[in-house]
Amino acid sequence: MCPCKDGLKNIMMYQFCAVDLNLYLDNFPDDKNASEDYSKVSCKLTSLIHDYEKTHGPLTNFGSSFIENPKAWTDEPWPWENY
Amino acid sequence: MWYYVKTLEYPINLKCKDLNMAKYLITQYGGPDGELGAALRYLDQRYTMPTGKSKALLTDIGTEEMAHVEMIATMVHQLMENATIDELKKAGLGGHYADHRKALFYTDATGNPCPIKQRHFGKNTFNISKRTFIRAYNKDYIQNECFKILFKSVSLYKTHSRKS
Repeated sequence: MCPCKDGLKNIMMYQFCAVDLNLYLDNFPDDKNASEDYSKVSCKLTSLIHDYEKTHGPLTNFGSSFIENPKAWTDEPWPWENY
Repeated sequence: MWYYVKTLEYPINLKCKDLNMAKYLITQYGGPDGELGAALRYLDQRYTMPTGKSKALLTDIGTEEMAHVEMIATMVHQLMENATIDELKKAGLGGHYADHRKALFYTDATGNPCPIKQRHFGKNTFNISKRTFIRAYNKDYIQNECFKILFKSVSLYKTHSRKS
């Protein structure tokens, strides 16, 4: 995995942000700012993932990605590999 | 049900071989206060939570902990990936190599397999670094636990100073 190119790093940034906002909203569900940010971030994240998956194959499987590409799933580098 | 996402939660790309660091770091993977233990404790505890909010929180935090498990695994893997057997031996990882080659394994820093169980207080030791002893988010319960720990600390301190 090379997050520095191909937009993966961008996806990871939005992912990280979404995780933290989600955990925050678990605690403070009525926070309007956080929930607006969450909508924006998750919307952007979904579209980034969709674009990435078209060229690099799915980032997740078991039916939760729109893209199906078993060869890319096995051949694209794995997250723990050096780049 | 869970889904795997083929990214790390935070990018990791360690180029330097550092076996001593790997040997210590592995406790954060499978040691008593490691990420795996934390993930499994959160996910254990969610079933008996009294409110929907706490069930949701423990489900989400437990899930996120699994992403931490993967990051620590990545670090350990990258730190020892290019090591020779002799280097592993010198760093005290000869036993690890004999048991698991260079595969990851849930152990603490001295190679003991991860004890996946609830913490409970032994006779002379206790752990206040993780609040896993709190069974429910109830103010009185938490307060009682804090007092118990405080008294235990004081009595341990007294015993200790008498000995030395």
